[in-house]
Amino acid sequence: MVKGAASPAGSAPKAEPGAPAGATAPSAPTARDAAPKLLEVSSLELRFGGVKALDDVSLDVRRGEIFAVIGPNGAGKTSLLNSISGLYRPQSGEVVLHTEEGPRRLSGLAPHAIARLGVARSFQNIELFRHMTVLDNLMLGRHVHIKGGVVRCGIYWGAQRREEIRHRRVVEEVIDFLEIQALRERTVGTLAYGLQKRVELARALALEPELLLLDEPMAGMNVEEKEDIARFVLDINQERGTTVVLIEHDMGVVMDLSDQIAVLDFGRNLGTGTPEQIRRDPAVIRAYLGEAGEALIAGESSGDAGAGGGTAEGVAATANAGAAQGESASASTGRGSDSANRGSSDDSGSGSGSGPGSGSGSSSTPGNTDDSRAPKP
Amino acid sequence: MRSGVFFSDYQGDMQLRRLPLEKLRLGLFLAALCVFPFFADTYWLTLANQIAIATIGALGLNVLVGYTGQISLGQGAFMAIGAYSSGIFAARFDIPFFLSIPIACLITAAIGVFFGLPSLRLKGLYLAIATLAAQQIVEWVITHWTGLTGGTEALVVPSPRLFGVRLNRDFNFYWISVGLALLVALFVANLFRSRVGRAMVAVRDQDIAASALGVDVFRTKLVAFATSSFLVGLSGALIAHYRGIVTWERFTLETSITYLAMIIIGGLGTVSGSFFGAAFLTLLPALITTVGRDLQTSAPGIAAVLPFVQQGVFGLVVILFLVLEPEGLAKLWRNVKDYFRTWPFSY
Repeated sequence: MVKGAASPAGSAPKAEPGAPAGATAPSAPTARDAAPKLLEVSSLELRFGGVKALDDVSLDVRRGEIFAVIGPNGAGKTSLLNSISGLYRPQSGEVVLHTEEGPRRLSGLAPHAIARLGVARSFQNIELFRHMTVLDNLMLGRHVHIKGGVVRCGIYWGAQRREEIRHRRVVEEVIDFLEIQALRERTVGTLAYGLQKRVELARALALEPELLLLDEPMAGMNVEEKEDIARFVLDINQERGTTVVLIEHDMGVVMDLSDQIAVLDFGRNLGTGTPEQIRRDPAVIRAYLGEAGEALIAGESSGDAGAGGGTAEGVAATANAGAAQGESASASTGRGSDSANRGSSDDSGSGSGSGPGSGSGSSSTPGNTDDSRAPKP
Repeated sequence: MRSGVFFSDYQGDMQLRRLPLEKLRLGLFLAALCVFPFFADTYWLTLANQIAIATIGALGLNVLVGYTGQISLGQGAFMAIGAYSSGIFAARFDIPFFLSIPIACLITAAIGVFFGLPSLRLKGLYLAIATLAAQQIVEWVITHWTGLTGGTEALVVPSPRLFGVRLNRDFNFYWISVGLALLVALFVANLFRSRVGRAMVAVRDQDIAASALGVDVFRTKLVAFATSSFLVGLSGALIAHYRGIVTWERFTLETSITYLAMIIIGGLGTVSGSFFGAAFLTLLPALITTVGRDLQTSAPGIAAVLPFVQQGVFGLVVILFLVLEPEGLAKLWRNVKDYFRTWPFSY
């Protein structure tokens, strides 16, 4: 379901109480402003020697939304996530988490202290405890909630056993939620890649975070696995009310899932907005398509509906946007809703690109992710 | 992976021994331990005491090295601290052994935490070198602080007595050492099926991921150093009271390496491995000596080369084990158990 392109005709699952900021039409950004901020990143700067990994990055994540961070390879997406979760120490700028007890500065806190405030994350390259069972991995996700020191753990019987069982129940709920019941006792190192990714998501979820940072949760997966994860991310967001910050290269998934998208390039934030806004943002197109994108922007500003017809680059861009839509439908809801989905974006009539381009776009679905990623200035 | 075993409650599922066969095996083992001293002669009782004490030391080292992944070459030093503290309290201040031993453990734990501080910055081999420094420093202090430790002279520890019974006879001490070894084994087993132990293993496997999950990595390492040193100190203190005499030569770098060999041969990060390793490295030299002595009567010339043969055989066996079963004796034992668990229908 394309939330960004929500229209009267399209069915938007995000229009639920759990997600107040979601599903707002691009024309009404004020609705989002009303939702309370959860994460506030202001003018973050991170340098490695002379390299600026992050350069004056600012963004707000609202409570209950899915916030995607996109950008070419090396744009600083993971650096941003690492700075939020405390693994990197930015030289300047601030990260503030608005917890229920009030705002807390995350900058300068150790990673474990940040996790304790309710920030969980997954890693781009799976960082599971390979020699442990899935259960133990998930129980580690509960670490901040379980009580007990060495002596109590060593004695175990009595208080600590009750404590462990109490949290085992929570872990079992997460296991049910992510449908990994059969893997419980398996050693993580023996699982297939896609399942490991899912276990890592489960582990982060076991922490019951307010803010969930996902670093490419679908990287290297096939279409079915991506569908699964996309569905889980939506479920996590809607059923559990968890705010999600997501890094993902698959533009289809990003456009489909996100309420807000921030585009990073060379460590700078090129722009933040709804998927619709991002899709039409000239700076974003330039970053993704290189200098040739300039022509596209010119074409787009000259003629609205007929943009696709203009230049060769224009066709590529519209195909790209359309493909994103086609694939997004397949990613979350399956092909059944594909046509309805396309219809909704047609209805909304917003499309400089998406309207006329959608047909050709969805037909060129395979491999289009590379299209959106590869051209780098 | 266990299969075909289902529990309807978490308590059952989280047991240390989940299968009836496992419980039976444990029961038989405990029964054998209880019966053993009534049939064994002094020689075997001495060996049993040595094994029990070494098991405690190996369990302590395993907490640090096997479970938490912090390589330590300071095992000998920590044992020395335990032995000397308990011995000094008993010999100089007339404190009964049941008080001096826990005090010694706490002292060792505190010093262990101090020498664990470099683990904030150092990992792997670099940390190993830092603990090697601990070993050398402690050795130096013991041999040079003559006023406290007696220097290179032996420290004589009075026999532990309880209700007038002298406890450091092999038969009496057996109950203390084996009892404590069982308690420590239980403690470690429990530790590593609950919160703190899981955090330690997490620090070993992926410290960055652990910190992202809210595990305070440095604190966890220090807790591991404290727990490990506490147990190692206990084994050192037991040696002091068992032998009745403490000398620094028993706690050199060689001791550290022997204990490392124990847990590697037994199996890193396993409770049973600590026992197997301790038993193996206690029994193997004893066996070699016995065989050598028997050979001596038939071939007198062998006496001259015997020590070298002993060293050689010892090294050879250790290497063979590492090559043939890198995961240690505990893995071998697991293989045997797995075979019989489904026997005779293994498919």
